[in-house]
Amino acid sequence: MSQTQARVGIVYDRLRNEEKMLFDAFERRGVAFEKIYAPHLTFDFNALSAYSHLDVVLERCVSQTRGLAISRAFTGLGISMINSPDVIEVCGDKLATNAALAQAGVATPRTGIAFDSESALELCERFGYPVVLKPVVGSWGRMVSKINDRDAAEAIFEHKEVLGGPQHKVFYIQAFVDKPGRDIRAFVVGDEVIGAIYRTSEHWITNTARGAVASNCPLYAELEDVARNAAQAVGGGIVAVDLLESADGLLVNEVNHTMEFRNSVSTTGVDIPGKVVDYAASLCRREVEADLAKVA
Amino acid sequence: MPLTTIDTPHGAVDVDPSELELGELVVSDDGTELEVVGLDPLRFEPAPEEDEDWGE
Repeated sequence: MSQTQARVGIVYDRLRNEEKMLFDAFERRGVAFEKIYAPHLTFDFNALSAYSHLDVVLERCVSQTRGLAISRAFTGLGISMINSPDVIEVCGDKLATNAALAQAGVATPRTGIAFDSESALELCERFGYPVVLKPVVGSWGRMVSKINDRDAAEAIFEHKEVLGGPQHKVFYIQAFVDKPGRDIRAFVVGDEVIGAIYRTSEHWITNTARGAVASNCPLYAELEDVARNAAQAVGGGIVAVDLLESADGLLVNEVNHTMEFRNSVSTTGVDIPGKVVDYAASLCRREVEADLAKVA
Repeated sequence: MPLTTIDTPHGAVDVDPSELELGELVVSDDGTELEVVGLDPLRFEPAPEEDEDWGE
């Protein structure tokens, strides 16, 4: 593909390895793109033409609040977003993710919510210890607690009620899944599951951000089906689906809308940033064709 | 290009200005993590700390 006028924007705040890899991929493929540093971005809804040179914007902010606002604003200007604000909203909120997955019939760990300590304790007793308590909004395994018994639950819930902000008034509780020392992350781009990794750790939290080691997970039919269904359930786009292997089959634990993949390209042998760029370019072509059809 | 030493209010950084991107992190000689917030002129500010809504 030859260099053309930038039709794709990539908006980011913290420049991670992933964004650098995406810049490289755009350059390697000859797809013109514009780097947009989110903290310097402004929107004026009375000046809709400001970004009319863009068809598609890839949202890559580490701040989910900022990313969601930007995705909404660009969508309001008629620009296609990867990912759409709806996808970001669902994936950025574990409760919304659970609701979307449940509606689509995608299996997850047993999950419940409660709104005060007493009901949260009741939920824990119903699930049986250990349980896992997570913040509804959060990532990288931050503030995720494994609660082994009622004493620990009472202590943590009291801290949460007294010290936490408004979002900590929701108690998001999951039954603990005794996974085999690893989980699976599957990368989904559009309708395609492009690759997957195992994330292995001696710790029960298996995020690579917390030191888990990535290794290639060959794709197989069940994995592809579950990951694709989970991606579709949250609205599609480009997502990473985290899955747990259980006696009942694969369970979807989380779906991430601004996926990190720095450790996964060499591990899987899949050019993940290249696939992302191809997907963005294909959306661009669709936009251009739609514009041409309108003119005709 | 060779590295250039730039003094900031938070310590000196050795960087190749032509290679820097907005949003990039560099560490000054006093150990402060700085974010590139301007390229022309080059400006650095202490990088924001990880927030509750940060993630993927």
